[in-house]
Amino acid sequence: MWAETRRAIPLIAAAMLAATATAGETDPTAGSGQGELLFFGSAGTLLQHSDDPAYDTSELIVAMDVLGSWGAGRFRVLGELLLSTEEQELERLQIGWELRPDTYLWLGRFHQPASVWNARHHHGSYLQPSITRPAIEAWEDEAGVLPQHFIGLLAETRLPLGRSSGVSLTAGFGAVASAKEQTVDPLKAFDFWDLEDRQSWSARVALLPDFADDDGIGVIASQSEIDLADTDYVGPATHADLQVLGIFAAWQHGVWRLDSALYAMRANFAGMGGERDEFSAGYLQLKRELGKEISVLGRFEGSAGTAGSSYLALFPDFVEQRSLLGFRWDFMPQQALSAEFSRSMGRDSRFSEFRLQWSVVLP
Amino acid sequence: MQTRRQFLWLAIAAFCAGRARASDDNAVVLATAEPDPAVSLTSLQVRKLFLGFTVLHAGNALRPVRNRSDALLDKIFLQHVMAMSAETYGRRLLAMTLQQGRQRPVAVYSREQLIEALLGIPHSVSFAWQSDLAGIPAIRAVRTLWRP
Repeated sequence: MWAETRRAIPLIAAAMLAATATAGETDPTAGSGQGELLFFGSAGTLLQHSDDPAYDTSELIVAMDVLGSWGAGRFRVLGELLLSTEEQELERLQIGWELRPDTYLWLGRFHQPASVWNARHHHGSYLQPSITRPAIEAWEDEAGVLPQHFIGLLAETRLPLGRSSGVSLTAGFGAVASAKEQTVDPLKAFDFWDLEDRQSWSARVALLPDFADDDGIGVIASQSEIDLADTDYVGPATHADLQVLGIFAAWQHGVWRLDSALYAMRANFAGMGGERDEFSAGYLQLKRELGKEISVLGRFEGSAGTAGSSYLALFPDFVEQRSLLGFRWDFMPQQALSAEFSRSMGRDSRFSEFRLQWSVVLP
Repeated sequence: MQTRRQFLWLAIAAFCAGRARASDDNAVVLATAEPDPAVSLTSLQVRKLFLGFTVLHAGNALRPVRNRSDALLDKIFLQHVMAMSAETYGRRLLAMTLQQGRQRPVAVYSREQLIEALLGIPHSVSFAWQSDLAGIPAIRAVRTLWRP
């Protein structure tokens, strides 16, 4: 009981500090808070046909992502809870303070900023241009190879550049939560005290042609200690140091939209005499609007240097290559029907997938 | 002849004055009940404000109020102020909430609701037909956003 209470102490303390600071705020609007509650719902079906018929599958997937936020003056709190037929998880819980306009300091549990896709779309399926996310951006419990959640501090700022452009800088420091921690013991994910073999930092810098938009080009970097105790690893190392360096581009020009990222990764296994492996992965997605309500997209995902990677051997379900075609019909305000067909190649498998999804956001 | 020419010029002047007046009345203006006469926002600040970014004036965060009392007014706001379609604007607001928990602008659907919001919400800023603000001294037009 004490151990669980101890884990929650930093969050409670932060909330009290923030509340105290808010009470002393001179902004007369500080006392009149505003809140938002959004429901991102989706229901869909997956048909998977594998080269090995034993792995053929069909699934019905229903999910509701509940996002709640509340702010008063400079203080803000945000929570994201995902409830689905596959999992129930507190995705984000963050307490923030706006130091100056467009500059936030957050404490809590986040999606790490070095994932361009996830920092933009989180679990809001309706806002994603495609049903699925690229394999290199996949969540930890969906065969993802990069840590996507961390607990600690997150700083975000956006600076003006010229007349209407901007630069956004995001950096986080804390502990990455393993997939096991996320699903088995939600409170464990908030354990600030246990940083051993879990420390991580990540950062993203983006050049934004339009200050008020997220589109632009940029670089990402991160370093994380991956606790091997939660994996199938057999060997002397207690953790792997994973370094990631990447570039990305997100661009809308008329009816065309481009989303692309390329990540170079290096994994060092501590205690293995400096042994390391390097691999890279990326994707290029091109979307075209056909009128106001309909769009089509194509995505290619690829990787290199994966064959001999000891790190990737820990993730046998990682998709190394995928070609995807998608279709989306925004048939009503804040509702869409999407379809996707893809052909994927993993470490030991090849399979095709067909997905159909209805997505909605309320209110 | 002289009198007739003077009358013609007078008629033209009166017509032009009337046109000018009509244009002013049909202009879309940025409106606020802030007592500070120095409230002035750049185009980028107006866009930021209505996308949910924090825009300060005299140390206070301004509160956007989206005026949806008139379809044409909303269309002008989206096309000429935000420079985006209704769908893109809606998605952008949702993304801002999803990413940082930012609040979407309060929406009003009538002139009465607009006046109530501007007078009732501290540091609120909205946009309206200039003619809709006539006779309300507490609400000022601080900038013209669009003219026909």
